[in-house]
Amino acid sequence: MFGAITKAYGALKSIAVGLGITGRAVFQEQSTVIYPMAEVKNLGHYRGHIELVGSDADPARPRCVACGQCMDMCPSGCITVETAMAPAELKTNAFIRAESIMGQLTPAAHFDVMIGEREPKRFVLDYSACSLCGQCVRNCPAGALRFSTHAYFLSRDRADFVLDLKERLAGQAEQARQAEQARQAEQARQASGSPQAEGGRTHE
Amino acid sequence: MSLDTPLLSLLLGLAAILAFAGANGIVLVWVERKVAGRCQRRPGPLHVGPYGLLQPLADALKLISKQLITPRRSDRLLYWGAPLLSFMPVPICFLPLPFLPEMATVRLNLGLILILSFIGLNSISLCLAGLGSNNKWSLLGAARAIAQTVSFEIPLLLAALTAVFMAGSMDLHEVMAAQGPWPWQWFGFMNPLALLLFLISAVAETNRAPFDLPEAESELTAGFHTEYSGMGFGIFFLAEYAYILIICGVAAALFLGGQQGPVAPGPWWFLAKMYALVLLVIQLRWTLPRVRFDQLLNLCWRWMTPAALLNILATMLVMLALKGA
Amino acid sequence: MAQTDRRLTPAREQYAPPVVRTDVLEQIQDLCRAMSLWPMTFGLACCAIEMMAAGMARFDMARFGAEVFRPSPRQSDLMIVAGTVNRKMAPALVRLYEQMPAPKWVIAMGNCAISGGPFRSPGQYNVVEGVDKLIPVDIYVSGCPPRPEALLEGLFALQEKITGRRWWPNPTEGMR
Ligand code: SF4
Ligand code: SF4
Ligand code: SF4
Repeated sequence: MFGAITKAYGALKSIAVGLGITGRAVFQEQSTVIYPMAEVKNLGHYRGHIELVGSDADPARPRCVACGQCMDMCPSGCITVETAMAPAELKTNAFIRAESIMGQLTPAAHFDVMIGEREPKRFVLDYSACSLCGQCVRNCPAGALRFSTHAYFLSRDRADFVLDLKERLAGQAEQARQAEQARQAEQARQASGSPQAEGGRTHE
Repeated sequence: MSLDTPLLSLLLGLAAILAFAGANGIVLVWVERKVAGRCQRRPGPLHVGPYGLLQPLADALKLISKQLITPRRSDRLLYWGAPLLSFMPVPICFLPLPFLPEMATVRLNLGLILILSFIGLNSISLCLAGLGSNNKWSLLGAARAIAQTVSFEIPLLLAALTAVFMAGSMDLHEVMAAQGPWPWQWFGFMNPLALLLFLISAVAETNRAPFDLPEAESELTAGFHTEYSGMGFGIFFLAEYAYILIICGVAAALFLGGQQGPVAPGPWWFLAKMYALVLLVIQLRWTLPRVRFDQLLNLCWRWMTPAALLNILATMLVMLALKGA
Repeated sequence: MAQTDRRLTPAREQYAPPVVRTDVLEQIQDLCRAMSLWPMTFGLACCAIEMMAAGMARFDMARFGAEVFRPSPRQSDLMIVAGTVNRKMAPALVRLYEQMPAPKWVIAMGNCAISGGPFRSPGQYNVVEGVDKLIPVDIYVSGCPPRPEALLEGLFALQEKITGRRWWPNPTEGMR
C-alpha cells in the first residue's frame, strides 16, 4: 500500500518536474536564428564546393598548373581538367613537386611539374557528385583550389550543378575589380570633398 | 410565425455552436503549434501573417483543396461516414456546457450524462475509420482506440460521479452553484484526487499525448487516420480539438467552480478556467513521452479504477458523516 | 500573293478578361498551399540529419508552417528526398510518392538524391543515380549535406515556384 502511494507520488512528481521544465522553456530566450533576416555568424567556416584560386599576377588566371592531381585524387570523379599549353611569356623554369598523399601505408608517389608550362583550358566540376571530402584541395601542389562559402546552392535544374570553375574565377575577378574601382572612387571622392566628415569610418 | 421561433433559435444556436467549434479548432491549432515551439525554445509559426496567426487558415484552405483519396477496396460508407460521425456529436455536447448565464443555455437535468455518453460516440467513429479504410495500421489504431477509450471511460465516469455526489445533481449549472466563489470551495480543491483522475482520463479519452496510442506515428504510421487525406483528416482534427474543449469545460464546471469566481462571477470565469485547462493539456502533450500500451492499460485498471472507486466510497462516507452531524 | 489573299488574314487577339475573376481565388489558394507545405517524415541517409536540424530550434521550419512532418503520405504535400536512394528503396519511394494526394511537390536534398553523389561511379550496382529518374523533382538542393538553411532556401524556392514570387528577403552571405 505504501509502496503504491510512493510510486504514484513519484510519477506525479516527475510529471510536475517535466511541466516545470517546458514551462520555464516558454519564457527562456529562444535559440532560433530567424534565418532569411539573420544568419549564423560562422558561415565563413562553411566548406562549399571547390573554387579555383587566381594567380598573384592576374587574378582572373588560375594558379593551376594543370597537373591533373585533383582529377586523380577525387574519389567521385567530379573534376575534369582539359589542358592546353600556356602562353610562352608565362613560362618559368621553376618546378613544383606534386605528391599524392594516398594514405599512410601506400608510399607517396611524386612527380615534378613545371610552373607556367601548361594551363587548364577548361576546369569543370560536377558538384552534384562531390562529397566535399577535400582530397582535391589537400593534394593540389600549386595551392590552386579552395573551398567556397557557397552555402545555399540550389536550382530547379540538375544541370546547373555542373560548374565551369574557370569561368567562375573570371567572373569573380571581374567583380572584385569593379568593387575595388568603386572603393577607390569613393576614397578619392572623400579625400577631395570633406576628409573630416566621416572620420569615424576608417577602413580596416 | 410563433411556431417558427423555437426552430429559428435552434438553427441559430446550431450555427453559432458550429462556428464556435470551427473557430476554436483554428485558434487551438495555432496555440498548440505556438506552445510546442515555445516549449522547445523556438518561435513556432511566425511569418505567415502577424505572429503566424494566418497559419491555421492557410492550412485549412490547403486541406480543403487537396485531392480526396478513397483507398481501393475500402468500405466507402464507413470510410466517409467516420469523420462525419466523429464531428456530429460535437454540437450536442456543447449544448449543456454552461458557457452562458443560466437563462440562455439549454437546461438539462442530465446534462453531464448527455455529454459523457455522446463523447463515447467518438470512439465508434475511430473504429469505423479503422475498419473502413482497409489498412492494417488503421485497423490496429482502431483496436487500440477502442481498448483505450472503453477502459478510461470508467475512471472518468467515477471521478465525475464523485463531483455529482458532492453537488447532488447532474445538471452542470447546479453543480456549479453548489460550489463557492473561492478556490477552497471548489470540488477540485476539496477532492483533488477526483480532479486528478478526471484530468488523466480526459487526456486518455481524447487520445492526446502521452496517450495518443491510436495514432502513434512511430508504430502505426498515423493510426486510424492513415488513409485520410485533405479534409477527411481535417475534420478528425477539428473534432479532436472540440472534444478537448468540451472535456476541459466539463472539468472546469465540475471541479473548478465553473462560472464562480472571487470577483464578478460570470461566464468569463468559466471560459478562463476552461482554456487554462486546455493549455495544460497542450503543454502535457509537449512534455511527456508516449506511454506503452501495457503501461496505459495497467495505469487504468490497476491504478486509476481502484483509486476512483476508493475515492467515491470515501466521499460518500464523508458526506454521510457530515449529514449525520 | 499571300498578302493580297484576304482569306489568309491571321486571327486577331480576341481576349477579354472574364466578368468573374477566378484567378484571384486561385492565387489565394496557391498562396495557402505554399505557406502550408507539410513534409513527409522520410529520411534516407545522412542528409536526413540536416533535415531534422532544419525542423529543430536552431532554424525552425515551423516559422514557415512546414514543421508538420506527417507520418502518412496521404496527409503530406512535400516529399523531401533526403539521402541516398538505393535500388531496394526505389519501389518504396515511388509508392510513397504515388500515395501522396495531389498537389504534391518533391525536393531532392543532397548530392545523393540529385545524382547519386559520392556513390556515383561506373559499375556501382545499387544506388539510383538521381531521384529524378523515379519521380519528378521540383527543387534540387545541393551539398553533402546541405546546410539546414539551404533546405529552408529550397522551401522558399518551392514557394516561389508555386506562387510566382519570393516571399522572404535574400540572405546576404552564402549565395555565391
Ligand atoms: S572535395 Fe572531394 S569529392 Fe569534391 S571535388 Fe574535391 S576531391 Fe572530389
Ligand atoms: S591539382 Fe591543382 S594544379 Fe593540379 S590540376 Fe588540380 S587544380 Fe590544377
Ligand atoms: S549527399 Fe552526402 S550527406 Fe547527403 S545522403 Fe548523400 S552522402 Fe549523405
